[in-house]
Amino acid sequence: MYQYDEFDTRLTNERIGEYRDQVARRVTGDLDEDNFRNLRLRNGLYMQLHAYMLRVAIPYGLMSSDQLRKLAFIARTYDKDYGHFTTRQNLQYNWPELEDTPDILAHLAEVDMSAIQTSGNVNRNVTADAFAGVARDEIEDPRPYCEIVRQFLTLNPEFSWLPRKFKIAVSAAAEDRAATTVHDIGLLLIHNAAGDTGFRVLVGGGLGRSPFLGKVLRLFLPKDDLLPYIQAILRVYNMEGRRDNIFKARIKILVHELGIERFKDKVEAEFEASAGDPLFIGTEEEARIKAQFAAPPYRALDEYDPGHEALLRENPAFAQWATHNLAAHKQAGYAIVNLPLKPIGGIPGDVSADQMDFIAGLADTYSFGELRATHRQNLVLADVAKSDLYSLWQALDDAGLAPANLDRITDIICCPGMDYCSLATARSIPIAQRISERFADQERQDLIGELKLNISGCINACGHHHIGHIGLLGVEKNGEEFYQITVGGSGARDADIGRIIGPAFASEDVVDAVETLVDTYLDIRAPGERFLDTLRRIGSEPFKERLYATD
Amino acid sequence: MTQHMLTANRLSNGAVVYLQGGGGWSGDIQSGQVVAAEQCEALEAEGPLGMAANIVVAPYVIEVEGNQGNYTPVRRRERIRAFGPTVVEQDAPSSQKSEDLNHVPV
Amino acid sequence: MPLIKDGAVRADGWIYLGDDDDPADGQSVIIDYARWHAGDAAIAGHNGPLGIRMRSDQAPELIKDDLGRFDVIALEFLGIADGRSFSHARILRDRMGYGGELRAVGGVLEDQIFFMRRCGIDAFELDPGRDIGRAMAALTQFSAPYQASSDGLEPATSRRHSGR
Repeated sequence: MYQYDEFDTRLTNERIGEYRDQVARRVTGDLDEDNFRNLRLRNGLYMQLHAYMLRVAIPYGLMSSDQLRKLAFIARTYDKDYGHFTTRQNLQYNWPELEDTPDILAHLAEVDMSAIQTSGNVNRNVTADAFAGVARDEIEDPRPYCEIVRQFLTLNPEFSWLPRKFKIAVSAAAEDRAATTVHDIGLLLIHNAAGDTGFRVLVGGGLGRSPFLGKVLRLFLPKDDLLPYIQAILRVYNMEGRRDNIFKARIKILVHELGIERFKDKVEAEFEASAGDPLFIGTEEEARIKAQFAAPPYRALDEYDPGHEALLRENPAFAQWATHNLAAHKQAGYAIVNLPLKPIGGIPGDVSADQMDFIAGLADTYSFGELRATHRQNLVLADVAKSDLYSLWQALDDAGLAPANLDRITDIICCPGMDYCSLATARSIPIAQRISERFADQERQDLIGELKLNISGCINACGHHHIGHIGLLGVEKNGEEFYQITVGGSGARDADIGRIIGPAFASEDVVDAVETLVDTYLDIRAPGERFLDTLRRIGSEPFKERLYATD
Repeated sequence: MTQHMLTANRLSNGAVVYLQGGGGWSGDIQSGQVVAAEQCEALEAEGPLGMAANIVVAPYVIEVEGNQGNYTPVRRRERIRAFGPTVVEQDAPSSQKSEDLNHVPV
Repeated sequence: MPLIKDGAVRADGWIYLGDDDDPADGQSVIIDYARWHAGDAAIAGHNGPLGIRMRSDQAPELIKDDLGRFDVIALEFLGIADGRSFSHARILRDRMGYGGELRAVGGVLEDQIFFMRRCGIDAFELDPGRDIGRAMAALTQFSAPYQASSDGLEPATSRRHSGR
């Protein structure tokens, strides 16, 4: 993975010095809250319901075990012994104190981490497929490009006062595990017929108040044009994005209002006009960054590991875990291991400091000291030899970290909601917990199969409910919490925005409602169909009838 | 007759606080100063004082119900602010807020 | 209004000409774009240095054929909510090759000065009461930015290999 050199370190430390000074001036009153708020957001510090919240960047979701241990240390020393993984592969702390935050950033810098640009009207964390570099269906490792883009957009002087936040996601595989279709820019790394590396560029996707799927801007952008093209998109957005209305300020609105053809014309004109600009990145730098993502020292193994296969036959619990949580690795004899952070009845995406240390140790022992955070608020140990899977599973199982529920109905995406977030209109976590408990039974979960359920506590959609097969949106009606149900969304290659199925449900009724949807699906599905497939085949009417039947 | 308090977040740690009768800010809603609707404007005017002194940020008036010793905010969001998250955090023995409940004079 | 230029606080030799006033002979005046666009005879015939003030919603395209007339282009920066002029500055420098003074005006914040400079701004008008020391220090806030911009500074991505 990328390791800071003296330039990265210097930038990060100078940034901390600047921030430390800002905090000191805020405390004495030299800096007022309005100006300070804008500045602290650019280092990831929010004010939430009960406390500050610090959002730490995990660039494209990739972490080392040392970094995870440092996150644990920070949780213990400055917070309440836990952290929360988000839908953008970041980590959030819910209880930091203001005057500790410069020290927290200094600790993060010790392990090449920061909170730079995790909030504010700037470019946010570039997210990626959590299986990047190892997935069998991958075309080419996109991570070097993620790092190239990260550096290009960090403290970029032209694009630090955008109309609104900007989010880029990158995928390089047949499956889209990074929800690229609902990002401001979605990049799909591809090869053209000649085998050259390039990107299909989507623009104007997004969730929130007005969900949109991204539209194709370029079918094939040569990789050497990536930075100038991103600059062109950002420049058009910076100059023409709406600044009159905060709810209409994302690039998706500009693309929608201009239409993709006019928007494209502007971007292409801008791109062509900047052809003479100073070189964005040289071949030496590209090679240097690529070298940092070289494959780990894999052992030469056979794809078929008889020992592993025997253990699968002998141990049903191990087999169940393996069936659910493993994914195919491009290297023979290795597997991608998913660690869902969705214990039954637990808070989705939360991990205790002890668990962080434990998982870091497992990463060292079994996965070359690295791990990833995913879009669905889970973790991944990406490079585990098949012959190690059993001992890994035993360790996870002993620690209660081996639920067999990846992509099952209890693998819920859930925002912090009104228990923590000052933007929320309803609580989301208790709903996730109740749904998780209702569907706890493993057999039933497996009978249901793949079902992506996403919960947002407000219209800002941080829980990505729009792209859930079932989505729940918390709203307020007469002072009570209600939940609007959407169905048919997806953030994968079959991307779609979910549609509201009918009137919202009261908190006490919404879990029953979800169960009704699931039972309806089980009753009418054809063999091999997921919930999403059945819904798409027959439409939402049959579900709606059952849901709102009065009897 | 409606009852109102002034709430804010403490600058130093973001903790939820309530303006007390003596002018200080406390994390304990039971020690918050309660006023009737007619005095809301005057109450609101205290907010900028706390901000100017760099003690609090984002002050605003909320409605509470109940009596001395069992005041509860009317809105759920404010109840959550007053009494903490309604969920039990990882490894936490309870969902108690950590904010000090002591009176802090201005 | 204090003016920072070439790394120091300097006397400002320019005045902003009121829309109804005519420039005196030889006077260094800055006029609003609207007045330039109107083709005012007094301005067209002005015998002295001329500058133009562009609002943040006025793109450089509007004056691209007239750049030779202006010794100063004042770009309006409206604080934290409006970053358009950063792009305008870069376009003026990189694409249109403007070599005169690019001045940030309107509400310059210290935290933006470094970024403004990197976008090609070489003069900064500070509102009265702003901390000049802090503004001056801001000019050199970060010693090793990642990316190339309009200030000619070699970025880290290149310095790593050139040994500078």
